[in-house]
Amino acid sequence: MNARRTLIAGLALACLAAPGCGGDSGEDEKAAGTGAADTREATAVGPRVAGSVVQYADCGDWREGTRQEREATVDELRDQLTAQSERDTSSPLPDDRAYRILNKTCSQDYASSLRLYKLFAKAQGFAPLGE
Amino acid sequence: MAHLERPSYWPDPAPDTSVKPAAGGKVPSIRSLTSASNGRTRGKVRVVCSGRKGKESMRRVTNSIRNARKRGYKIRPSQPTIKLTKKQVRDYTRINKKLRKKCRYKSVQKAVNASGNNDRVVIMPGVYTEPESRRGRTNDPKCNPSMIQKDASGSPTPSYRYQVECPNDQNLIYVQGRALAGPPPAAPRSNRQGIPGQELGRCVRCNLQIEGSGPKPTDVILDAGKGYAAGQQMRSPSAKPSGWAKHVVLRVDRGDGFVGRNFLTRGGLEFGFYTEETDGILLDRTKFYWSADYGHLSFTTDHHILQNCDAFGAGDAALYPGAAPETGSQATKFYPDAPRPNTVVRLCDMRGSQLGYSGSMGNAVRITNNHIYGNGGGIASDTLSAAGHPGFPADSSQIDNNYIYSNNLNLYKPNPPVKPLVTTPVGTGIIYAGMNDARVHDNWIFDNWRDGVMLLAVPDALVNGGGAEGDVFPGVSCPTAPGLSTSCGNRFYNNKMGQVPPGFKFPREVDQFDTPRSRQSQKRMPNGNDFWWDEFSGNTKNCWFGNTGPDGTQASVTGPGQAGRVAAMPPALLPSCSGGSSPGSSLGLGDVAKTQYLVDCSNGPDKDTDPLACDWWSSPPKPGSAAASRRHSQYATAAAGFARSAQGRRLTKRIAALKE
Repeated sequence: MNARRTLIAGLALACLAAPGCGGDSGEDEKAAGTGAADTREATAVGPRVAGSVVQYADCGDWREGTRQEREATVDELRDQLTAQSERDTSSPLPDDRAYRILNKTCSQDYASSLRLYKLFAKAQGFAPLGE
Repeated sequence: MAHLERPSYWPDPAPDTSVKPAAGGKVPSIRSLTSASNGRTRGKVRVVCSGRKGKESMRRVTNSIRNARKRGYKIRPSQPTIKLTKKQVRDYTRINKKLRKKCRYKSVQKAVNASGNNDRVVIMPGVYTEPESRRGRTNDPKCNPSMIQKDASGSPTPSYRYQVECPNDQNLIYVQGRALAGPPPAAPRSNRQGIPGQELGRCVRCNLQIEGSGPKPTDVILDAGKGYAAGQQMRSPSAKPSGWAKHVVLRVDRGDGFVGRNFLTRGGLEFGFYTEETDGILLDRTKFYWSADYGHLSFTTDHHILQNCDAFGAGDAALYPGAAPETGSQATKFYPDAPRPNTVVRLCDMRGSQLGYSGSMGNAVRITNNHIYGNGGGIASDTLSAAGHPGFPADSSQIDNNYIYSNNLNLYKPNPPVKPLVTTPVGTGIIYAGMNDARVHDNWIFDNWRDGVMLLAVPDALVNGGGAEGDVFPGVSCPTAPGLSTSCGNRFYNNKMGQVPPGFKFPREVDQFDTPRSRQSQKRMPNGNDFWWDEFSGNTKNCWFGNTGPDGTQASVTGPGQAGRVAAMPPALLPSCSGGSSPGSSLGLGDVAKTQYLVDCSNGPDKDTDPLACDWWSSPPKPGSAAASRRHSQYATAAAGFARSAQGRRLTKRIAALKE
């Protein structure tokens, strides 16, 4: 888990350095404003119910999150959306790709009510076929 | 499509004989309202009413009886008006007067709490907001985090104990069916057949019946909503809440032998009605309005009938039987009477929602004699969303004798009347995303502007990050293609596509949210395309036969190779398997353009307008229009070139790798 989070943090930093990476400039400013790219410091977006945000977090919550909070959300989604009989929660959908997909979807003007876990499950489903 | 839940098990399908009569093992039967009033019923009757000494309930029931006699009422918008006879007027009046005298409760939850096995809760007309339940804390520190149950991947879920100890944390009304026993297994068992004995307590509220006493289901409203327009909450059953006080309106947990009858649930943040790990449950004359996720949700539940119902206003699906037991083609000795349907949805209207019906791992569910209309999509059953849903892969669904029409509601726009929570193709009658051994027959499927029926494969590697939930039982139906457990052995026959049933009239409610539809005067109401099949390479035994198209002939059915979509690609026609007699003759040869389309759709909405880009998020053009022809033509041209493109070749390689 720690190794993966380190990788995520690295990707986040790399992405922050690249123009246009990961969405609009507004979110980059948000991320920059926090001064930290380590997901261990961030809390996932959305209301936490019974210990998890996964059930209710939606695109409206995503839009309001900082980059770090969104990455923490992807982390939590991945953890929960793998088989409950599996100890390994790795996903065929890489975190950075999941981030991009959620970011793209949630930027649609009608998307605020879409639940993140439903989007993630579908994207994860076809991930091995995507580019 | 899909939701998250504690590690869940299918209950033992045998009756529990520790209570008399035995609980479960079959669908329970209804005890009459008359018997509740005259004492000739087993179990104790507890009556709930509103107003001082039931005055408000009597006022409501008197008005309702008068109204039902004079003007009539409908249980389902698609059905004729029902008027009470003079005898029924006398009966309802007499019964409710007797019930009023027995009324001791103002709260449904309190009446439930006081009940035991075989008891009954009769609710007189009124709107029940359950103020005490609403005051119950969410994330109550009494239960959270100490009663959070971690699944094997470490994800937190509320345990059964959580629900029992903090019943109104998530639920407006909670029915605890069984006593608490020991803790659940430290890690979920991979065999989900049977609730682990260590955590399965004795029956404490088995064979419970909860019912409304008015002539109409809308006379009793169980309401978890808030923020209604002034006066509307009490006056109008279809009033829309702007907020939700609780996640679930009525939850029946391990409540074997439950009967729910003659009421409306409204305004759940998640579900109107929810049952989990229950054996034997009948819902009759029930309505489910304005719950954000699902109107009805049954999960790992057996011997379930849902009938005479009406549901709208769900951001996912109006009705959802998910993780249904393996009583179909993957049945083991655990189900000695298999194959059989474990859940039957019949005589219901599913409307005005993102989906009319949905069910991940909807094994052996029968959907029959319903009207499904005015949704974004009609029916969706999938294998894709396996997380938390035992029963991989979905199989043995049966959809027959339904009217499935005008599912063209586009909620993907600013300020939609129902907030969509999920992304599904607008304009589709039925979607099977990973299904085996289904039977779709004798339905009228018309006026769905994208596709009448879609069938697509979900290779194992695409499921749930690569793993099924719990054991996979024998009988997987694509045995000759490694890594491909769906979609094989499905049959689509004797359906009438794009035809208008004799005497059909649109129910007024189809226009509730301005769903695009054909005019009533049209003699034909074609689908955009009747049958869409992804032709996934290695899929076998899928057969289409005896279906007729808009002009009443088999030749007018549209499908692969038709409708201008993929003109040059095989199959030119849908495999008929010689009228179903030689299913082995059907073999998917692959269509990389269609797979690319699905991959793009899996990545959610965007603004791409490429002909192969996903177009699920907008209203399809009306069939037969110039816009529809143009779209089909553009798609066909792009699809024909895609297989030869570099991107197409890369995708072909990735598809092949999935099956290695």
